Amino acid sequence: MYTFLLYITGRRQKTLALIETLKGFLTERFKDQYSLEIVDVLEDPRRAEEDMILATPTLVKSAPPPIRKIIGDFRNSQDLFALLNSTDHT
Amino acid sequence: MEEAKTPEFWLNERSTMDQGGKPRVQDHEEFFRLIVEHSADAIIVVDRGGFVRFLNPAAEHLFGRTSEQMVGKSFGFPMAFGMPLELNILRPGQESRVAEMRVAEMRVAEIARQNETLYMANLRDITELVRLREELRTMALIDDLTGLNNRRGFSTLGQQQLKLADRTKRGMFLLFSDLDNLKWINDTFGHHEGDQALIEAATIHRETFRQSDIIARVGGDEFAVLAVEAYQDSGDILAARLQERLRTHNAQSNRRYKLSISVGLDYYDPLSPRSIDELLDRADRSMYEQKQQKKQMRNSERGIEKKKHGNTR
Repeated sequence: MYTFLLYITGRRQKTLALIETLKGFLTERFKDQYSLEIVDVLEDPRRAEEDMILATPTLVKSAPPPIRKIIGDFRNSQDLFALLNSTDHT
Repeated sequence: MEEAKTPEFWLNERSTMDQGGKPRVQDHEEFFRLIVEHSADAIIVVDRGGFVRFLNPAAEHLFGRTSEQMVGKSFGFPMAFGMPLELNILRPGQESRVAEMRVAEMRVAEIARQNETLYMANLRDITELVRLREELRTMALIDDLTGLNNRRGFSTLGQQQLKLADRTKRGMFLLFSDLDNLKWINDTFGHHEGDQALIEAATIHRETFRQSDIIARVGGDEFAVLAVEAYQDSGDILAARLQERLRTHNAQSNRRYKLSISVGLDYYDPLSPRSIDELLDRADRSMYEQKQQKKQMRNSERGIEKKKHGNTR
């Protein structure tokens, strides 16, 4: 089971569109074998601080290990999955 | 006055030897270090693991953290190749609260260095620019009187919503409504009262629909609502909810007149896409039909009343 966390700031149209795109990618790739938790840092700033989130949008793959953290643009699914699967992250 | 130097001069200057015949490497390092240190743009260099290797003073300022606090720590892999990307920067506050949010535009470049590849994120603080942009956007897209979106705002947000509906394959309803008898209210009670009636109608719409729905005043006495993620059979429920809210509003005892709203509906089916203007047009026509029906009903009621009075005389 893959576990993802997406840190966002507010829920504006652009962010909602980003969430939908990301959900589409993840569903296509992992079917129902994933969970995606959305953390709005405006609602939960403490969590962002504890998880060392310095900017949004940030996507974290927390399981299976290793943890991977990506900041910025997730619109290119090829680049996104290449990074999520790369072995350089620790 | 000193003469301007040619590019060749500066290229030669870069490789000038020191007195011992060695290139002045230290001078050049110092020169580039000063450029990076004095750059107004934040520069943060990470490795492929997303761990910070270097940040300049502008980056320390932007993130509100020192090099000591950030170098070696996880920043994340910055992904923005090609196009610049807007990021929200979270600056630390007291007791783990995010004290301030900045907006930065990020560009990323790959640096091949000896046996490793590093990634340099250039971040430009555009917080003020974004604030001004939002202000302009608000001025251009919001109706002054009611605070709802104006027609342009409705069209802009509506188009985004249609794209989203196409992707998610979830339908939507466009509800077109018209505040009846605005001219009569203006003529009888004055334009101030007419404005007040429009504000009340806007409030009724706001209280009826969800925050995620797009509500707008699209003309003098016309309103439009894009009710997102609605089922095809929920149109009548939406219209009934609006009329119910209107009845509650009209039931207030101190009213000099009752507000009346006519409604038309059109369903957006992602399987047969239409433009926002087509939707508005179809819902407008549906509303016109309802208005005509209302008139006919009123006229026939008056006819019955007349007949009743005629019979009693």
